[in-house]
Amino acid sequence: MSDLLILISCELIKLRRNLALWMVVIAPAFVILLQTLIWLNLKEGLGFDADLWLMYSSNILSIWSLFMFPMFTALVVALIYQYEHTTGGWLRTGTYPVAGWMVLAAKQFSALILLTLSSALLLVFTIAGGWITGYFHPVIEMPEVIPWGELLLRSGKIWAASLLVLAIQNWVSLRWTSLSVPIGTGIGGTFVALFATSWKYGYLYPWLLPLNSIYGTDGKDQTALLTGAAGGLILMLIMTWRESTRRS
Amino acid sequence: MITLDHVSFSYGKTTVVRDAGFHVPDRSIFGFAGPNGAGKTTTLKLILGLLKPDSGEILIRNRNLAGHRKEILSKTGALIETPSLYPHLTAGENLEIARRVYRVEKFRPDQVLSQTGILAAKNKKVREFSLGMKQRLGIALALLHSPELLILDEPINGLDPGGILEFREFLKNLVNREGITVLISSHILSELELVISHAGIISDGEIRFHGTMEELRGKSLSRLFFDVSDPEKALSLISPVADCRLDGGRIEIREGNRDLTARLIHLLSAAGYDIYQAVQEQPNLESVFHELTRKEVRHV
Repeated sequence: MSDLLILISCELIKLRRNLALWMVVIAPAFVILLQTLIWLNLKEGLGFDADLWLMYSSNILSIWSLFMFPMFTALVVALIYQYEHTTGGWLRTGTYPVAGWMVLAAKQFSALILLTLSSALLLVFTIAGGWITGYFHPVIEMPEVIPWGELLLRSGKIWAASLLVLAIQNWVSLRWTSLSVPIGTGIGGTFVALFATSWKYGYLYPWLLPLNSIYGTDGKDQTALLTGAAGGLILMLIMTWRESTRRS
Repeated sequence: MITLDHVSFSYGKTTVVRDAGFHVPDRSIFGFAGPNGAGKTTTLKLILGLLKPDSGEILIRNRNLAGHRKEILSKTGALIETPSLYPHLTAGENLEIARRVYRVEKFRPDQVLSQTGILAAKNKKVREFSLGMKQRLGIALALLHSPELLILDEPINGLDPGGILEFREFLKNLVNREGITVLISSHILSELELVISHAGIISDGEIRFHGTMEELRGKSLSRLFFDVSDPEKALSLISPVADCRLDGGRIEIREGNRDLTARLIHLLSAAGYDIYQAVQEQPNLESVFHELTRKEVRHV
């Protein structure tokens, strides 16, 4: 286990001065900025009886889970694997005195860490964006009590349901050395998601799972959450096993 | 230190290494030479476990890599193909990654940077390095964990003449002072000749020679060159008694020796040819290398 922790720490060193690390901040900040600008431009208020924090965060989580997250994941994961693809790094990691699967697992963990950080920042920025909106908007007043429990639950569900897309992007980024393939997969996946919403089983489409995990009805939210989380973990395990045996 | 026994490897239907076998003794500098595409890098990758042989066995310190991977690789340093460096990181950060993986003391990165002469560039990003500096950093990475076995694939590439000289001295010191065994490949045998104690020559995936440098030099054939009047006619005169050919207006005789020289001088003089010069060339390792790696030669 300590070998794995060391490898994860090495992956984090590789992230220094890398666009992937900046994207952790830029991606959620962009969504919050967009939502804050939209609300600041509202001519009328939303009423004091509405749960403004949840309304405010709902729009953010929709944009995040449907558009920004898949793009962010595609780019960040691709960049993590690009280090090795472009520098011949697999030759170096292949001679490390550690089990081969650990090298791949460390990459997946570092991608997961970035996704988690980004999700956490999204929550922090949501609060900051809400305060800014309440402060500057002439009518909208954000309630003083923040529904932390609900906000954390929603963010957590999206995070967990995102694991399947994360696993897919990991595998694609590992198998294809060209940056365009995983990026194309992310864009393609997101694009198809727009049409998959009208399909009977569209809620099970990997790129729609995060959104459906919080907005699904008739139990579909639970199914989406379970499919995304369990499917992601299983796919990551299969990928780690399959690719490490293929490479050894 | 390393033993290859009947090792073969194919990429698809193309056999890249064919029934290869050689032994790298402890504390030796083993030069592994062969033309481009001969199978050198593939062989080194097989030794390091980066590729799996189709057949045969590879032992390092009498142990199979499959069963003793961690133990063997923790004592092996390698530089395969171009140095695998992260260009957006500094030299120090590149070494820090390896330092953590090999669990090496914190002072070692500075030590190996100093050994390889690039300590001043420790905080410089690798993307700003010249090819020669990258090679040095690649070697520093390979040495970081004080390996017992060092495998270097074409490490001289990118080094300037001064750097090559320094590198040779550096290698000698490593073996003499630290008792490391070095397996080093190059497509130019003469670049290694001055430092290696043993050699292996590979061509078309087959090991054409392996042994000590003395044994390799023993395979050298001294050649005679005659500068005579009317060399074409003279060639036809001496061809029944010697293996000869025309080489740039001179007659080249392979496997020349003193007796043959005297005999040919006598023969040519008696036939009325003027002999301007008769030169016996010293054994040349490069010519042996070319001879061994010629495609039509199948066995040593």
